[in-house]
Amino acid sequence: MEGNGNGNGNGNGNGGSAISVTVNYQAASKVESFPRGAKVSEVLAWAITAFSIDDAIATEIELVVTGTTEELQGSKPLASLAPGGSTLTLDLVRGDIANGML
Amino acid sequence: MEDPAIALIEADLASEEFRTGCDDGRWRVMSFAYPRLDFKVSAIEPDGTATEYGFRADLTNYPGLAPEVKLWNLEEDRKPIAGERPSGGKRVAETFKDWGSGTVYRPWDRHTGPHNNNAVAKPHLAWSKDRDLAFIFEDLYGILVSNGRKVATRTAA
Repeated sequence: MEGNGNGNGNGNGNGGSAISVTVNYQAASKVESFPRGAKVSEVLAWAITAFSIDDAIATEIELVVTGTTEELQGSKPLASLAPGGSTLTLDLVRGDIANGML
Repeated sequence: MEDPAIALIEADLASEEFRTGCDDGRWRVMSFAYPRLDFKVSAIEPDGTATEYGFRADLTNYPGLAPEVKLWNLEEDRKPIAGERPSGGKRVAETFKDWGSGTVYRPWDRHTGPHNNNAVAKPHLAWSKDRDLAFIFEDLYGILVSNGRKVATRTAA
């Protein structure tokens, strides 16, 4: 499997049990602490509630590591995105769809 | 001599990432007889009901040639009719629409990739020989359970 290799943990942690995750959506940011073993899908579920995202939008959004475009698959553990780090910054974006003009 | 693609496919199916998806109930392999792989992926309907959808993949010359993956009625061995296709948001509808080549409309698919330049325009979703089957299964699963997000939001509110 292709890893995106773009984790942005700042390396100031000591590989402890939690990661402080900042999620950016439009002009707002929210922060929450997650266990290192938590998965991307858990952060996404939290972010949908935290940003009060509309139902119609909730099915269309994904998380990416800030500064990248590769959508994070739900089963990816947070620890793999911030190896050795204690912080992680993600952006909430519209999930990509193929260009559907037939 | 056995096609070398077979061993590579079997290695993918035996990988920890793929097996975890099986163990977690995200997907399951129904049968593999090279080049055909039949499988099911778990899904959540717009009303929150859990279900699963069948797929048929052609893995000829894997992984050099991108997989061809079709939504498929495995019980009756036929293409699904309109009411049997997944429903939900725009991404669900676009991914599982009935289009010319009849495959899943994602850039990693053998036919969708070159269609409208999708693979070039979206390289992060395109197929390459460095990908594995778990990438495809995870992509399908993520879209098929996306309906659950709004249900979860409503429940939490």
